[in-house]
Amino acid sequence: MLASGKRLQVDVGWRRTISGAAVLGVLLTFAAGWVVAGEPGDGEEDNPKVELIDAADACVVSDFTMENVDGERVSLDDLLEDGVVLIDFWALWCRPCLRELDYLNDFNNKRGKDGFAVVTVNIDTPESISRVKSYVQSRGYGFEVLLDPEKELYYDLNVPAIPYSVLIDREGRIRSVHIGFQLGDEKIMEREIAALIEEGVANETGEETSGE
Amino acid sequence: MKRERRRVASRRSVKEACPFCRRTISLLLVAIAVSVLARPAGGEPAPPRGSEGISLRSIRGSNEMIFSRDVEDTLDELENWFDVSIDMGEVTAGFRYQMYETSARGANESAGFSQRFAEFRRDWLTLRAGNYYETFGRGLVLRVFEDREIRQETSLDGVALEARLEDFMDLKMTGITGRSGDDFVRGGDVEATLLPGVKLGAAYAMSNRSYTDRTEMGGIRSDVSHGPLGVYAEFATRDGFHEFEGSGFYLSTTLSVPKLGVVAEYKDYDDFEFAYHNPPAALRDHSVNLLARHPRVVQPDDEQGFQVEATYSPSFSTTIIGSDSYTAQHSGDAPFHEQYLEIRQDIGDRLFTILAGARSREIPSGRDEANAVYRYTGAGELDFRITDERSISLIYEHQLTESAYGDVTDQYGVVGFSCCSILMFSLQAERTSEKDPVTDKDFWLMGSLGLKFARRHDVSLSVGTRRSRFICSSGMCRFEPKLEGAELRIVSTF
Repeated sequence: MLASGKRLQVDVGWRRTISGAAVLGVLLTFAAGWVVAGEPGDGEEDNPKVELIDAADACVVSDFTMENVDGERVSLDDLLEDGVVLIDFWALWCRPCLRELDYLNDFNNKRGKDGFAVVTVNIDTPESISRVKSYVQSRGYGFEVLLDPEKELYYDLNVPAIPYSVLIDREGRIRSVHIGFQLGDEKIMEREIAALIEEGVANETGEETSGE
Repeated sequence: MKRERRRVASRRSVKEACPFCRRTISLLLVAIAVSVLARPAGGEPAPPRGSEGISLRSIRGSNEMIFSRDVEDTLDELENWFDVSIDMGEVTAGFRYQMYETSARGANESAGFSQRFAEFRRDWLTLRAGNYYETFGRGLVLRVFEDREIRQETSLDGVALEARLEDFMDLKMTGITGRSGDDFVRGGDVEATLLPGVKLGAAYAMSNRSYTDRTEMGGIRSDVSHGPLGVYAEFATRDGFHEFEGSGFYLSTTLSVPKLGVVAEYKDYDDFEFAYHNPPAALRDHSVNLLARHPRVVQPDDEQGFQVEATYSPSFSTTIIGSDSYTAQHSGDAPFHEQYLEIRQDIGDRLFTILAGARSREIPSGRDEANAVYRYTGAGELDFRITDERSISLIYEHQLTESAYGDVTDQYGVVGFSCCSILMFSLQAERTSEKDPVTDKDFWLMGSLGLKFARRHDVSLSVGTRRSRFICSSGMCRFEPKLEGAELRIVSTF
């Protein structure tokens, strides 16, 4: 079944033992994710449906530098200097991804001035690079479009499927994750973005107050 | 009676079903899962970025499991990918535990660590040991990659080094060496920005299993962009010890202006086979189900062709995509010609529509015009937002195939309902005017229930019958057999 023809042969008994536990592994992973999703964040008081991953439990994303569709190099640290960042993985062949991009462009336009930026990462094949620029230009998207034809960032962030988006706070912590996209998801994403922007503003205000 | 005989035969051809019944707990997976579960419940302050070292917070991972049971053939299949990586700032390490099991007699089952790696990353340097993927240019010389949808995985196991000197012509140099099975693969790539908007590159790759089984690839490329225009060209040659010399050429020109994007591609591959590359297909990857069923697989040993694709968005709510692609052997044999048009129209914030149509003409290799196959396909998709949280979707596709064997029609439809960002239900039906020769069926119906938990887990269960099909990407395809039973898919990330 592996197209590369690679076979990983291990002892039959051991294989049966460990393979049976795949289900258990999945369930435990499932439970782990549930735990990691954590308690609702500060935004819950304002809106009961906003559930951000607790900052203390959140994974930290290391800095990365990638090329955008114009051939310029963009780093995560530079983006985070301006505030909250939503990273979204997509491809031209993915219908839900294309629908989601319209909403992300809307978020970027509406909340860009509040310290928020959308960064999309295209994972089409190398030959599709030309089509990506052409598509993005024709749609008039204003967000940053990074190219990841070798799926380096895709694997670094262990993206399981697309569309896949992660919301990152100013400290580079992943505070929300979305697998897939259905109509209605954009409402949740919008509330999460607002909550995280407000959290950042509150923290800044708190720091200034304590500094005084 | 005929069906009963086939069932009996199929029962004899497989082992006992229900492999899960024999399985017990894996200490390894439990250890991993428990370590993940042992994440701090909160309270511990997050360290500054880049200085966190090894902590449970720096562990990320995902798991994808697909289990299917075909009740007619009493055939079980299990595939699982479990990826874990530890991010320690400049150093990242990780592994993949992968599994494939089937109850089919004589099939190659596998389970084990299919990947492991450690990567060191500085501003200008990336050093990776273990399994890695790499692409030189647009893949004419070398492209080792993974595409899980088509079960393509060609990672090399060795060392890859990438250095980038941004102050000196943005020079990027890559060197690789590694193994894939019995093959030993080496290569290098260099790319420099001579002037703003002008990049030049050169690449080399070699694979050899033995002295007499050696293939060398070499190529040069240029990438020029000026304002809305872009031109990419790559030429590569192939030299095998016992095989013919070959070459490949790929050209892509782009026009990108507000509201309009046009891409024109040309390809010419001759005796250009190499196990570790993936030259551009210059064909459209379709999301229309019935169009994706009849792909044109790239044949690097003898193929030339072009594709022109235009995307026009007169307003944000309207997008029109049109493409025309043609591919044939150098002799003109085995032509494939396809025209495609798609119109997307959003009506307010509640109704989203897509209309698509395609016409294709294909003649199998070695046949004449009398054996031409014509396909006419129409597709419509409608998504309607009932409330902020509930929506329905309808998809209908119709395909007419004309050939020397007569006309065949194929209809495919989906009705879907989604709610609250956590629930999705759909019914997929397909009917053909002729019975499928393998399954003796002309109607397939499958119901799917999808659930999302904590937005980190995507679970879908499909029950019913599904026709066999091709799943393609970038000119490469995988055959997915029919299913008469159930399929469970769980995707999780942590």
